[in-house]
Amino acid sequence: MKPGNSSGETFDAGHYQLPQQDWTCGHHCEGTPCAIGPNGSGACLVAQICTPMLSGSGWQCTRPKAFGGKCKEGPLPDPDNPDQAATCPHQPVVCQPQRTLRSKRRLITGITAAVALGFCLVILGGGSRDGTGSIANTSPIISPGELSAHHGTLEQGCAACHSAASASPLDLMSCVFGGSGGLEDSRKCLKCHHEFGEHALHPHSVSPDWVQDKQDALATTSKGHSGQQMLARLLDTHATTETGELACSSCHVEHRGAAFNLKELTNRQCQTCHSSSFHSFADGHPEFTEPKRAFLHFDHSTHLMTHFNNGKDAKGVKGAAMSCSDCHAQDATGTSMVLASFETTCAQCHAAQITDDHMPLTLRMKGTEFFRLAAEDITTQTPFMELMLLAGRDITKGSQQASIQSLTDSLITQRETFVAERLGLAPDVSLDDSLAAVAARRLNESGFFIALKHAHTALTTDAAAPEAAAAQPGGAWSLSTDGRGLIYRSRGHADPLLRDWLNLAADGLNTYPRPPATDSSGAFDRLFHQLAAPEAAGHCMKCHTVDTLPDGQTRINWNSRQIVSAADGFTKFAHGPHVTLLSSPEQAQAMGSPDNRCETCHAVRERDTTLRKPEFLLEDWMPNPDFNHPSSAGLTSVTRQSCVNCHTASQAGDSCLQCHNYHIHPSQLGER
Amino acid sequence: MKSFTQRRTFSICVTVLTAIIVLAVYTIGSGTLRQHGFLSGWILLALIVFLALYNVRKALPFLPLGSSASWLQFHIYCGFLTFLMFAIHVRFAVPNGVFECSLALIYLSVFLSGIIGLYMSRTYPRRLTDLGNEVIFEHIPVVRRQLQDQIESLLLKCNSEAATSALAEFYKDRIRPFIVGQHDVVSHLILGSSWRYRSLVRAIADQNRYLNDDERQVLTEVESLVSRKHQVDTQYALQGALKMWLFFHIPATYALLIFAVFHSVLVHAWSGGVS
Repeated sequence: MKPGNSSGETFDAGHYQLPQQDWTCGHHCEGTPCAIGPNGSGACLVAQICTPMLSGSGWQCTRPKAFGGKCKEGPLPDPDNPDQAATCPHQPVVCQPQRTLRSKRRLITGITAAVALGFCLVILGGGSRDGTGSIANTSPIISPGELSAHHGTLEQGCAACHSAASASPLDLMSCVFGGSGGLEDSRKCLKCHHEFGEHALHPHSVSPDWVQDKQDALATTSKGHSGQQMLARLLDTHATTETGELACSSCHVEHRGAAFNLKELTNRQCQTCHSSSFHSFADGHPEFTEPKRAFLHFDHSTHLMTHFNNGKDAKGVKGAAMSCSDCHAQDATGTSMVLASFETTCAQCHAAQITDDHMPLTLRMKGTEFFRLAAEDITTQTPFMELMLLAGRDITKGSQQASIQSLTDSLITQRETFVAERLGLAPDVSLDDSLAAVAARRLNESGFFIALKHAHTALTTDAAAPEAAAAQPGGAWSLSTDGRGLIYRSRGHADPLLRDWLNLAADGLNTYPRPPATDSSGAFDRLFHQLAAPEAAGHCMKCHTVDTLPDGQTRINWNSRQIVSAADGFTKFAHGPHVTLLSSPEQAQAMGSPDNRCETCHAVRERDTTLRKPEFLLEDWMPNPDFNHPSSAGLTSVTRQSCVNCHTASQAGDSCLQCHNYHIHPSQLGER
Repeated sequence: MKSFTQRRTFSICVTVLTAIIVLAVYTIGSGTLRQHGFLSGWILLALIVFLALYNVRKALPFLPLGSSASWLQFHIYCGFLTFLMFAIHVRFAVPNGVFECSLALIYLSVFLSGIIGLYMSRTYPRRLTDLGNEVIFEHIPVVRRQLQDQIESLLLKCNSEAATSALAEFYKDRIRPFIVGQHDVVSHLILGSSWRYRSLVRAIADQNRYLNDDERQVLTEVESLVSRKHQVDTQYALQGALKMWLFFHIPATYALLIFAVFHSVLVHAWSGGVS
């Protein structure tokens, strides 16, 4: 059968060239392929078409029918060896077989794949031309994009940030599968960014326990997730290691160009991790908590509604209305509203109270007794004397009088040197040497040793000169009514002696308050109680607060709270833009408080006539050391609603990062 | 049994719906901490591997892996989806780096060659059918040789009877160069014809005036065979194009697979722990 097409061309179906064959006859392109074709290795077979075969009648032709069948001539026997060999007289022309299209395609595919693989291997294992490392480390051959401007100056190549850049090709696979959580690269970040402390790679750069506490606290405010949030959480596993650490690149995506802001995050990105999610700042954001107690005890409501009510000052004189800007002003950064000095704000009314000069002589506070001459026993000693005696182990049974006499003599003769030495010897308490030295010097500067000498002389000689001490330079020392106690009265605000002896007493306390004890720590505690009591000289603790810090140390807040860097804390707020906004009467009107613009956010509470505010004073009227006690100082707390009026997505913005920092510096935790 | 139009409409709808879902997931996912580059990259690689498996499927016709036609449909529509995934993966921007640019160019060349192949596989068979007298591609050289032999035998027969050598010289100068080999492939692909053929037809018409009746009769038969040769040339060009585009598409696909796997290794090793 001769298959063909309608045009009359025919071909032998037995000669059909199958597409999957690798080789075709070299004569195929001329249109005259042989019938047998090449073998699978691409060798021409026509030379083997006829292999003469010796039979009984001689050599027989074996040429197949496709090549013309048996020839008439038959094989030619070898003249030298006619019984052993014969050749075919019709040797066809041997061709050079050609690859079929399929075979050519396969060959090209193999070559292409080999070239591609070779290119990859060169990138992986090849060295750079300057011999400084692998191509992967220094060459722009692999580059996911330009670095941000801040990191663009890194000159160490990829290895500065990527462990894989310096890994061998074999080690690369361990990098792929993240040898130790894949955080090696993040630890490289911390070589420069070491400001985040030991928990740098934990969420928010803080202890996981702290985060968990916050999450637990906020869990009850969850409003559930929106559809988008649920899908986003489904897509994002925000993988952390077993220790809960998170790679820097989870949030900070590099290689997006010089102008890319690495700190840019969307609200949804923040809420991806948060177990307590909400839809927006206006819808679902937790209410603001009450602010913690201030550094200074000051009641705004009393001052604004009583002392300066209706435009009258404390003495009832009109025209002395109090406004916020009388005491508060923006700092240089526009972040905080800082408090003006005591002399500017408080001195007019309170300076005289500190020295008791406003009181009649008979009603003045008795001051603070530092020393008692000729004390009969330990119960009549002052805390100061107790410290001096304990330090030297001078007290022995039956010799108290002698010890006190010896102490008095030493103070008169050796003065501040003796005090500093005794404070330095105080057992069981590690005192700050500089504090002790300063405290001793303050005694000298105040005229204590001269006053002591005069009082001692007057007492021992029965001279009637009890007021002699008060006439000495400084003039703050006086004798008690029985003529045996040496009493100190404040010389004014920020009295150096009271301030530094309070600092010394606070430094001597490991914890505060501490029950009185017989050891030296108890002596410091009693000294602190004496100086911090409401009736003590200077009445320092009437305004200044005392904190017990997380490490157990006691700190006296001599200044108002100054926010050093809002960028370090979890929440940040800049008063500047808001004050500027409210300074426009139109804006203030729009905010609903045209008269007192600060009160838009900080409204004055109803007047509280309670004298003892528990957040500042304990029941014994001593300072409350718990700074976590909330207190708005006579003002209403700022509410979320007051912010929501402006801060929406379409107005002033409601991005999480507008008010919150992701990274919280360790110094801000537990601090105020 | 669904009609061809129904099947195509269904496939297109599924593809468009999938693309919309992918875009929606990308839009939402781009707002999370998850870097979508890894997700889109893995999806893209999986799609490319699936597309490459079509070639394997064709090599294993004896396995019950579904019909080749079904595989081709998946190949086509998944191929379109890869372009969307690619655009998402490169963040709709030109990549940096020699390697990344090479990878992107290889992908784009594979995609574009696929588009061209799809166009050819949808239009050329129809043109081949319209041409008629279809010849198997591998057999075209034989047919071409047969046509040449037929023409030469006609001319030899005529030359032995004619007194002039005008026809023989005309064959030598004009017909034989056309008969031998393949010419004007691009012209055949685009126009479906060859300027050489048109020129030769005009020359044959002009040659008639110099021939006697017998020679003119032979030349008429030769013209018919020349027309048939032209048809074969067109078939060769069309069938050749249908086969030759794979000479780029398939090797480039393997290069793409190798580059993509290497790219995956690099990005995971360089991921900084977020992959």
